[in-house]
Amino acid sequence: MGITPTQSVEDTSGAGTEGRKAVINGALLDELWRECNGASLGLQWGEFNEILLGVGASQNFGLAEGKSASRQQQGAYFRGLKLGDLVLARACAAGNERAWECFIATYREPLVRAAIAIAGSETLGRDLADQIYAEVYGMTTRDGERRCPLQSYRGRGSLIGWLRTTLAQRHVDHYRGSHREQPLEEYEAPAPAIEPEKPASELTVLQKALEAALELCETEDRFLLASYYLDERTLLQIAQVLHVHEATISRKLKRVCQELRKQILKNLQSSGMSRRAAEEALGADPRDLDMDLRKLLQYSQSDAFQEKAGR
Amino acid sequence: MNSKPQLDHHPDAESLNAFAEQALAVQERGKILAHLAECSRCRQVVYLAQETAAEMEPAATAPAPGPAGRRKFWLRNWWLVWAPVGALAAIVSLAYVVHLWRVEMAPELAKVVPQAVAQNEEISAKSPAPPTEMQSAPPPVAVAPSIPAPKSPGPHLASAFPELLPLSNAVASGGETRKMSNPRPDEAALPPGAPAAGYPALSAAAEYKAGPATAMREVEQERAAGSQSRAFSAQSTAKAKTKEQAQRETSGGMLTAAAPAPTFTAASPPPGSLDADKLNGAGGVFAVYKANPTELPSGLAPVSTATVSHLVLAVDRLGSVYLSEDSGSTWASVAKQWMGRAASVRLQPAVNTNGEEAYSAPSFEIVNDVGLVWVSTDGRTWKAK
Repeated sequence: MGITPTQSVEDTSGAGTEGRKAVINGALLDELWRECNGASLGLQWGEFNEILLGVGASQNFGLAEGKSASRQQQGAYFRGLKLGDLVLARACAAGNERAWECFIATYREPLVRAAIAIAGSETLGRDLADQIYAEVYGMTTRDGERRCPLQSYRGRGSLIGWLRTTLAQRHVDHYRGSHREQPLEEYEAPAPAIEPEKPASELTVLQKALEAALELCETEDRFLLASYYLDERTLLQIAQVLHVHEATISRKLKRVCQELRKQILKNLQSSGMSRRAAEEALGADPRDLDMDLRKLLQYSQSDAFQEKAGR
Repeated sequence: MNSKPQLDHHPDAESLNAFAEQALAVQERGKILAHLAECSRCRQVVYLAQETAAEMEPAATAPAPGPAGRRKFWLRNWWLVWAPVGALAAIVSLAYVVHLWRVEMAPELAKVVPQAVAQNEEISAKSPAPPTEMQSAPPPVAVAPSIPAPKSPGPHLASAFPELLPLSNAVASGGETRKMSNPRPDEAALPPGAPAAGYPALSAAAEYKAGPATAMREVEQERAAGSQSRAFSAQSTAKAKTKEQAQRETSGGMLTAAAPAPTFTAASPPPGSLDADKLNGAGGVFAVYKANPTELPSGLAPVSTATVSHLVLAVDRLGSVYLSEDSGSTWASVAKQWMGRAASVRLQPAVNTNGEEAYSAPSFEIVNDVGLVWVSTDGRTWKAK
């Protein structure tokens, strides 16, 4: 053991991120050590320190950039994490044998069951689970360096949830990458695209009004519209993701549609139509509109996430 | 319109999982939600992971409450049992009160009977004492209620709410004839004083307190209403009287009035309640009165029956009329074609122009609660007399 439990990390480890010394109180560290029972995973005190320092410093203990966290803030930050799962994941990523034994005993079976449930078939599910298991074990290397996805786990959700999400990501990526593939003999050359007729002016106005109305939608409203109308998810599925009752989703959807309609009418009227003409325009056949609602709803201006989809 | 293709960058599994588990701060949650609104791939991932979690977690995380816990709950909340018990007790007591009220109202309803019935009651009051075989039976009540208090036959609720009975009959019979047990001849011929063990309907009839008076009144009523029966010749009456007396001696007290073929009977449940002399003297009903242990599809015992060959017509105390074409094995409900409540049924022998009996085509008659008579030759189609 490198340091004593009561000794401050600041004094000993010197491990900080981005050139800053981590400031974790020794008493807090001792308390967390006992809480997550790191000794049962075969961790050393120093290793535990390093894990917490790495996690805390990477997010500045949940505070804004440049602020230093007090002992209470550090405690609140670490207690908001799934610390046991986090320590286990980091210990596995570091190649700790006892941690791996613990991981396999705890998560191997749920991982396989989740993979089968996601893939919808025993064979595909087991393949998927094996693939993830190999990835997690760190059998892939990049630039000669062993890479383990568990390193990206930061303890905000449960480890089993993270594993399920990772399985789902791999499955969706695999599906989206391969479902358009078809044998050549069945392939038929698409007909040349017909030049779309120039839409009538009324339809153009309606199209613009709809686009403007959708752009004004709130984030959650767009998510609801996309989930319900594009993905055809049920109210219950949406409610489970948003952690509300399905009746709430139903009410929200109704409200969103009403507001959207009002906004379109308003946009139409502002473009010079009378109220009656605007209402008549709303009765137009949607197939006459030259627009892709999917693209319109999924228009993105944010590049907030830096993880590449393809991996 | 935006023609931007699918997004190149996605939140990692950690963020998506934290979003699904509600472990994100508001600001970051908003960012993830904004991305999910735009990215079908990440929506798919989140929904797929969420569905899998919903499938797996109930079994893994939600422990079923153990039997001890359940027992503890019931022990802790035993007083909740009083709610249904109290409600049940209230319903039962209400039904009982309604039943008592209806029984009390019955004599008042009896006052509405027409003059003919009143005359019959006068006659019955003047009638001689019942035969010696009936001395053990309770004495006839002078003013008996027209709706007797139900001792055993029929459910109590049905007696409390007779208007529900046609419906319950329809449900019970399903519009078809209902198989009934055929009364054995020896059951039918049991003397009134004989022990009624093994014959519930008969023992019930023996408890029928107002029975004798009611039966007598019905017979008198039949006599009063049947004007043609008054034309019975004295000769035939005398013959019938002697035969009946002889038969009564042999059958141990059963009152019988034998008649020339074809045999037709009109029975009333109060056993041995008729004065054969009076009956034959009037010449109104040429019948065999017997205790009838059968039960009609309504679940009630018949208060009056009439038989011609294999045709049996019966009425229960609620006025429902049933017809059997196989001597009482199966019964069919007769559609109501008369006014009021059918009080009794009887046979009216065909009478020729000389006023003598002719038995070629006897007809059934229904007497309602105000003494009006309906007649039918087949027991199904009725017309006012």
